[in-house]
Order: sequence, then C-alpha cells, then structure tokens
Amino acid sequence: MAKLRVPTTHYIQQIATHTISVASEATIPIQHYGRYANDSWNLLPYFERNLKHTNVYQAAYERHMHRLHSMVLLNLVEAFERFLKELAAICVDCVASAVTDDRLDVFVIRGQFAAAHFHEQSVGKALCESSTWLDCDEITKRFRRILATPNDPNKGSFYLFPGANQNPASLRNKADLVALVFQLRHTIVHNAGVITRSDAIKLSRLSRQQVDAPRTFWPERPDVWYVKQFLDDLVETINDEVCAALRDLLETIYAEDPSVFVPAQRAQLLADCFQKSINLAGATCDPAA
Amino acid sequence: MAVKNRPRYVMSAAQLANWLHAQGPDAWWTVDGDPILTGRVSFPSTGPEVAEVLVRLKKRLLFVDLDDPEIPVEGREISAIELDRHVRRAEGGERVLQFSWEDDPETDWLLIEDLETAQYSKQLDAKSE
Repeated sequence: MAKLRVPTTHYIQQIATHTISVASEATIPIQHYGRYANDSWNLLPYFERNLKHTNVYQAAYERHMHRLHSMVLLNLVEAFERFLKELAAICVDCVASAVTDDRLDVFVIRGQFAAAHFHEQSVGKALCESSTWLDCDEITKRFRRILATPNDPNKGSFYLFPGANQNPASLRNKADLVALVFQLRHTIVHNAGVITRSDAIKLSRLSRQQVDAPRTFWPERPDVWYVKQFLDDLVETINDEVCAALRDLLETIYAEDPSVFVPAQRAQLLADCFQKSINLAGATCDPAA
Repeated sequence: MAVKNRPRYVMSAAQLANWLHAQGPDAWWTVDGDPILTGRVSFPSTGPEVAEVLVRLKKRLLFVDLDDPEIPVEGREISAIELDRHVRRAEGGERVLQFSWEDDPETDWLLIEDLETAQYSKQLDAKSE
C-alpha cells in the first residue's frame, strides 16, 4: 500500500503563524524569566502527578521523563539567555540617546540583520536580539561597555561575571557554572544530547568531574531542580546589580547634563523594568502596581 | 470546569499565607498557571517563601472545593483553618488546591504540593549534617 503523502511544504510554512499573545510580564525581564522558568519546571510535576500512579509501562515512562528533563533544562537556559538580552536592551535604550561615545560598537550588526530589525522601535532590542548571549566573556564585555561611564578610558568597570578582584562581588565565582550550563545546552541543542569527545573535554574541565564520551546526556529530576535554583538566584542578583549600575550611570550622565532626560520618567522606567524602588537625581519611584 | 462556574469561597491572600505557614517549613509547593506568583516566586518553593509574597500582594482569592457537594453561599469567606477541610489529595498523596484571583476569575491556577522536592530537600539536609 502506498505511503500517505501530505503536503508538508504548505503545512510547515503555516507553522510560524500558529501563535498566541506574548505574556504581559514580557516587559519586565525578571518576571518574564520567572514565568517561563516556572512554567517549564511545572511540566515535570504535571506529568509525574498524572502518570506516575496510573497503569504505565515503567520503562517507557522513565525514558520519556528523562527526555522531558533535558527539554526543561534547555528551556531554563533559554529563559536565562533571553533575560540577559532583555536586560541589556533596557540598558541600551536608557543610555543610547544620552551619550555620544563608542559604547555601542560592542555590538556587531551586519547590514542584512539591520534591515530585518528596521521596524523595531527599540535600538536596544534591535542590537541585542541579533546576537546570541551564550558566552560568559562576550556577555561580560557587552554589559561592561554598555554600563561604562561616558568616555571612560578603561571602557567600563562593571563585570557581569567578574574575576577575583573585579566587581560586583556578589557575582564572582559564577562564570564556570554558567559556562557549564551553557555547554550542557550546546550538547542538547546541537548534538541531540550526545556528548562528543570535544564536549567531554570541556565538560570535564568546567565540572571538575570525569566526563566520558561518546555518551548520551541523561539528566535526573534533581539535576533540573539544581540548575533552576542556580539560575533563579543568579537572575535575581544580576537584576539587582545591573539595576544599581544603570542607576549610577544615569546619575553620572544627568549630573554632567541635566537636559538629557527627565529624572522622574527615567526613574519610573527603571522601577518598572527592574521591579525596584529607584531614586534617581532626586526623583523616587516605585514599580507600578 | 472553570472556577467561575463552580460554587466559590473567598479568602484573602494573607489567609492562604497563614495556611501555608501552618503546613510547616518542610512542605514544598509549586504554582501552575498563575502569572502573578510564577513571575515573583522561584518554584518549587517552601510555604513560608510563598507566604511572604502572598502577604505583599494584598489581593483576594476565589477558592473552589472540587469535591464539595455542598453549594455555599456565593462568595462566602473562609479562613485558613476552614481551608484544611477542603484540600484534595491527588493519587500520589500531594495536596492540590484550585484558585483564581478575585479580580481575574477567568484564570484558574493550582497550588500543588511537591513531595519529590520535599524528599530531595530532606536528603540534602541529612547529608549536610
């Protein structure tokens, strides 16, 4: 019997139109992250609650749950990457119109990508969304440059993943774990979970454990929980520190030229985006309810 | 059936916070389907951590007892102590409660006990002692 043929071209072209509205938290990076990370995590207890105690084939259940663990772990890392992009975009939008130095040269954007983002109303989004944010050194370089005081000869002193003698202190000693999580993501996304020999060398160094290859990544439930806890805590700390650094930068810019922005408006923007009470150039604002 | 079509009790977020405190610091919880709490709390979370956020929200909740054959007066207020009588347990023994916010009755969400995480947490605590 002939195999049923379906017009896959047409149906695949339709896939991109199957969408729903963006969550209302999308304008607040930390809440956008929290919502997506928690929704992703909830897949696990949902399936456990509804399947674990029914009449399932245990081997199939275990296999599918391990695959789900990988998917949820991947979602958590994606949420973290998006959080960094959204936060950086806010910083760029707050600062871009108020300074004339070369800080935005830290973003490399080719003409074809510029054309695709032409209708984006936010300079920050246009610049930040055109890049990946999966390398600790590159991430640190971008935030350091964006948050540098104007015409700083050192090109910035804020390090998102600082070394031993760099600031902020609260973010020290995180880079290796973040790089490890990024490498696990790479294994899942680019090798369908297979740890290649080159992956194993990197993972061994980052995890300080012996990682063999070729092997298939097979995460357990607690593994996903540990990564979630780590990223949740890190997101909160990054939110606090970037907010403080951006506020300080805007304070410096305003002191040099009070005509560049209205403090109350900029303070409200920061309060809403970072969900913190902000005092900027004498204006105090709380996050809108 | 959505909460809005069932008999509904009303309670304050502070009362739910009290109930969570009463379940003890070793119980772990997750919230499924609520954008407000999932945007503000790292789940799974202990009761006191969720309670802290609930108290700050100062909102009111609609609660439906999925198994309650009685039909209470619409909008009858219940307390943390009374809530205990209406808690449902799923197949695995975890407690499950269904809510919506009074100002958003269309969005049902679940507060669910996470027994697995509670077990891991206990094991981690025992290892560290």
